[in-house]
Amino acid sequence: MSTTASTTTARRPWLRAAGALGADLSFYAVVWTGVGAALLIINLVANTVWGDLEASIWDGNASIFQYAMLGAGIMVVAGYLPVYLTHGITRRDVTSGALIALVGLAVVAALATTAGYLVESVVFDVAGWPHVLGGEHEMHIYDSPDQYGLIFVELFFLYATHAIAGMLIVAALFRLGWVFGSVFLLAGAGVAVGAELALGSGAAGVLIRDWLDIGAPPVVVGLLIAGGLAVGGALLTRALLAGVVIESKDAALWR
Amino acid sequence: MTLDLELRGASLRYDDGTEALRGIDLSVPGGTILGLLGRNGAGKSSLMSLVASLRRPTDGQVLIGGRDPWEDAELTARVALVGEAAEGGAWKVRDAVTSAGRLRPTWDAAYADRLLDLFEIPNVKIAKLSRGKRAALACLFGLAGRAPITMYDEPYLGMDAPARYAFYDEVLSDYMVHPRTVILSTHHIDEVASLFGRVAILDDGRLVTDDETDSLRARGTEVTGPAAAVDEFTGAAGLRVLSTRSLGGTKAAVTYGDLTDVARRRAADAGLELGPIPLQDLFVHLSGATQPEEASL
Repeated sequence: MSTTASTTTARRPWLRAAGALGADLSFYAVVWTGVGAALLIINLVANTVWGDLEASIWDGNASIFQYAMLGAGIMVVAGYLPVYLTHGITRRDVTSGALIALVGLAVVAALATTAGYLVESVVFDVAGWPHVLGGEHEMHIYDSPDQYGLIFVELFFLYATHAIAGMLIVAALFRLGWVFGSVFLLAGAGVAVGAELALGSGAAGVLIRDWLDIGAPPVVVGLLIAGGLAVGGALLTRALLAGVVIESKDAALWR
Repeated sequence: MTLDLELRGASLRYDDGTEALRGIDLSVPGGTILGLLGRNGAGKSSLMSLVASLRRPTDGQVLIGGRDPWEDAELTARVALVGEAAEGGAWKVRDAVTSAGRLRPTWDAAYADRLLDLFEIPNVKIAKLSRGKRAALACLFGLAGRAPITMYDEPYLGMDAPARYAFYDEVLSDYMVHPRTVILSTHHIDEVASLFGRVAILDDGRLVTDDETDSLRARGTEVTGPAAAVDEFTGAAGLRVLSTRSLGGTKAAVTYGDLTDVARRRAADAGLELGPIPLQDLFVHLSGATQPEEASL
């Protein structure tokens, strides 16, 4: 029997997209957790063998993870958007689901990175090394590697903004093509680097801050700026993806 | 539940100016198995991409269950487009199947497992599958997804004949238990023609014909006999002559149009033979043949 479409509310498809994407991203999280653990172990062993440590080494290692989050944001749009659209999820729901999944990943990654400081503190304590921040340029919103709450908050904002920046860059390329879309590379970079400047963390932020010879803003202001950049980037990404077209040849059932 | 599909004056113009679809009016009642036929570049994939909401029509409307499906989550979840299986694929087969199951509310996981066995698809990285197995995997997504509107844009091209026939059998047997709208785009028309309840033929972005398969078949007739009698008969009966072949004084005309019982009796009286035309031949003549072709036997 033929019927017209019912108006009953379908099960929340954005939640379905978020769940599926979260499951798909879990492998990515496992890989980067492995990379982080390997970095920590290699550095600790090497420094134990060849000399004493005078400051946290994890603080330097951890700064690569926001770029892994940038990659996750890029991957979600470039790799998963065509697949999810082909499987009948709307652009709006893919975007919402992706933002939820990436924010979730940012929480997990921030917790894991914070746990790295904790692991390091135990090792340093046993070895009798001073567990302090040693970076000359990194400012952070925390002063000591045992301020786990502040560490988590800074890392969460840093990771979330970088993931959204990655989404924004690819969303622009998808929607506007290489010529006009490339303009949004600046917008994406603005979200990522702006957050690094606001939080006093990250390689690009440190370079620019040293070049401009400016300090980090007060913690609350920095968090508000980073949060604002995340929300602005997310809204811009959503607007760009709302009308994105998928060519028939790019319709994909799998990655 | 089945859903009606309707295109009202749907046109699609690409950014480079190509007119992929020109004012398509097409109505597909829910529960129909539609053969969407057309030569390469006729607009089949473009039409299906509109129905799947991968892009919007430049003019006109696409309606599913009476509503515009664009960004309508309830409707897009009920539409599946299975395209030609692309090369590559970083996922393993099982991961791809599991992921699809998470996204499709109508997914039948047990059926997907049975199809993996039926098509003998190993659980390896998709990139390592042969073209035929990738095509079978794509077809599996269409079958196990159980979307009320399922479109196959020639994914089965890479499959060998036994696998294709196994797929056709599955389409039909699953359709009998779970009626839905199935749109099959294909070049293997005679292989799959028995499945079609309805046929739509596209040519250069235009809908050439859209009819019940039996009705379309009944309209195609080969008229054979003395040349003068054939010409007189086809003219009097108002038949559209799609092509002719001649040998000496004998002529065979492939025609398209309704033949009344009176006309059939008149043909018999004139010593003319009337024969059916395979759907494949009818398609060849109706698509891209705007002028009658003439050939010598």
